[in-house]
Amino acid sequence: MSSPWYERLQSIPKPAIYATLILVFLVPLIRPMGLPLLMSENTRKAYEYIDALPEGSIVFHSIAFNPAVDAENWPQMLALVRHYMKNGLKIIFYPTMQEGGMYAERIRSTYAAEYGYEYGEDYVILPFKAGGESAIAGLKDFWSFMPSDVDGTPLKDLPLFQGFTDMRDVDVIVPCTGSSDGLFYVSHLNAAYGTPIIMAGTAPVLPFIGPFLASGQVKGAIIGLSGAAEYEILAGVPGQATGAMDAQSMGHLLIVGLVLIGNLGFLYGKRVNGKNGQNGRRS
Amino acid sequence: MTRRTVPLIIGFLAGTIVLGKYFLPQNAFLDSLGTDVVNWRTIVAAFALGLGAVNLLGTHTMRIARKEKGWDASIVLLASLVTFTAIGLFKGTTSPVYQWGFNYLYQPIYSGISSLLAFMITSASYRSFRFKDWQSGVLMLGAVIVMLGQVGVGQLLFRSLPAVSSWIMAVPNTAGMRGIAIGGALGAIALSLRVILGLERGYLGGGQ
Repeated sequence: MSSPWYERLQSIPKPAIYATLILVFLVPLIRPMGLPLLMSENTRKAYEYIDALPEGSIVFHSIAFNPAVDAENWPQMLALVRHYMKNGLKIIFYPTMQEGGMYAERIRSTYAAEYGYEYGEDYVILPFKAGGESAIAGLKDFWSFMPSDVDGTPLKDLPLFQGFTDMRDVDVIVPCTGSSDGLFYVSHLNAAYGTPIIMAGTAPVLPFIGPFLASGQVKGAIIGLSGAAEYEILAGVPGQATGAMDAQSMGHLLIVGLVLIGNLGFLYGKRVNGKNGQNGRRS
Repeated sequence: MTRRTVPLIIGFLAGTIVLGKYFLPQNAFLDSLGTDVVNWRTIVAAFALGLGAVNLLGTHTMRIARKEKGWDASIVLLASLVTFTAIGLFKGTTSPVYQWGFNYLYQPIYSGISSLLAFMITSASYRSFRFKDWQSGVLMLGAVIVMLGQVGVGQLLFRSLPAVSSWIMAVPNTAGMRGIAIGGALGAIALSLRVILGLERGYLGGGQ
C-alpha cells in the first residue's frame, strides 16, 4: 500500500530534485526570462565610491578566492576591474590565496588590452604571500614586506610605485573574497590608516560584514552573483553575471517551493497523526 | 624539558614583541623587530605549504607502492603534482602553459566539484527546514525571505520582500554578528595572553 500523500510530499527522491534543479538552471540560460534585477544599496554605495575616485587614484585589489567560489567572485572582479580601467584608476593586484595570482594574470593576458592598460605603469601584480592574516598585517611595513612584483622586478623600478610611500597612499582597498578574510584589511589597514574598504564577496560573506558596513569602515559591498550583475549594470560594463541571474532567481524559487511543499506535508501529517506525525523519510 | 621550553620561549618573545610594536609604535627597535616577526610568519606559512606537498608526495607514493585502494588515482595526483611543480619551477607560473593548465584543467574541475554544493543545499534545505516549533519557524521564515529577497523574482512575488530582506540583514543579523565578533575578540585576547604566558600549550602538540 502506498504511503499517504502528505508523507510523499516530505520524501521527494533526490534524483527528482536534482533533475528539476538542472532544468531550472538550464532553461533560463538557454532562453533568458528577463526577470527584474534588484539594485541593492550596498552595491550602489560601492559603485558610487569607486566612480567618484579621481583619475590616477590607486586601488589595492586583493584576490582571496579560488575556483570553488569563482562563479561569484570572478564576475565581480571583472566588473570592478573594467570599471577601474574605464575611469583611469591605477590598480595593485595582491593575491592572498595561491590561485589568486592566476586571475590577475588573466587580466594581464586578456583584459588589460581592452583599455590600453600598461603593466608597471597602470597596474601591477604583487606576488602571493602565504600566512592569511599575517600576509595582510605585513603590508603595514610595505617596502620591507613587498620588495618586488610577481615577476621579480623591484617595485621601486616600476612607474606606478614612483612616489609611493606606503599603504597610506592607497585610495581604496577592495578585497575580493570567498570568506571573511577580507575583514583582516579592516582590522589592520582601515584601523591603522583609515583606508576605505569596498568588499566584494560571495553571498555568505554578507552577514560577517554587516557590523562594518554599519560603522562605515566598509563603504560598500558587492555581494554574490547578484552584486556582480548589479555592478555590471551600474558601471555599464558587459559581463557574464547579468545573464546568469535568471538561473539563480529560478534556483532560489525552486528551493523555497520545495521547502513549502515539504512543510505542507509535514504540518498536515502532524495534524493527522498528532505529535508523532511523520517527519519526512530519508530517500 | 628543552623540547617544551624553547617553543614556549619563542612563543613568549614573538607575542610580546608584536604586542610591543603595536602599543609602542614610536620605538624604532621594537618596530623593526615586530616587522621581522610578522615577515617570518609568512615565511613559516610558505614552508608549511611546502611541507604539505612533501607529505602528500610521501603518502601517495606509499599508497601506490602498497597498491592500496585507489592507488590508480594516486598516480594521477602525483603526475599532476610533479608536472605542475616542474612547469612552475622551470617555465614560471605566469607562463602560457601553466596558465593553460589552470584555465582549462584545474579551474573547471575545481569549479565543477564545488558546484555540486548547489544540489546538496537544495536537497538539504528541503529535508531540514521543517516548522517543528516557533524557533525553527523563525529560522525558516528568515531563510526564505532572505533567499527570495536577494533575487528579482522575490520582488515579483511580493513588492516589499527586498526591503524586509535588507532589514533582516542590516538589523538583527548585524546585531548578532556584532555580539559574536566582540565575544570572539575577547576570547582571542584571553587565548593570546595564555599562549604568551605559556599557560596554553595545546599548540605544542602531544596533549598536556
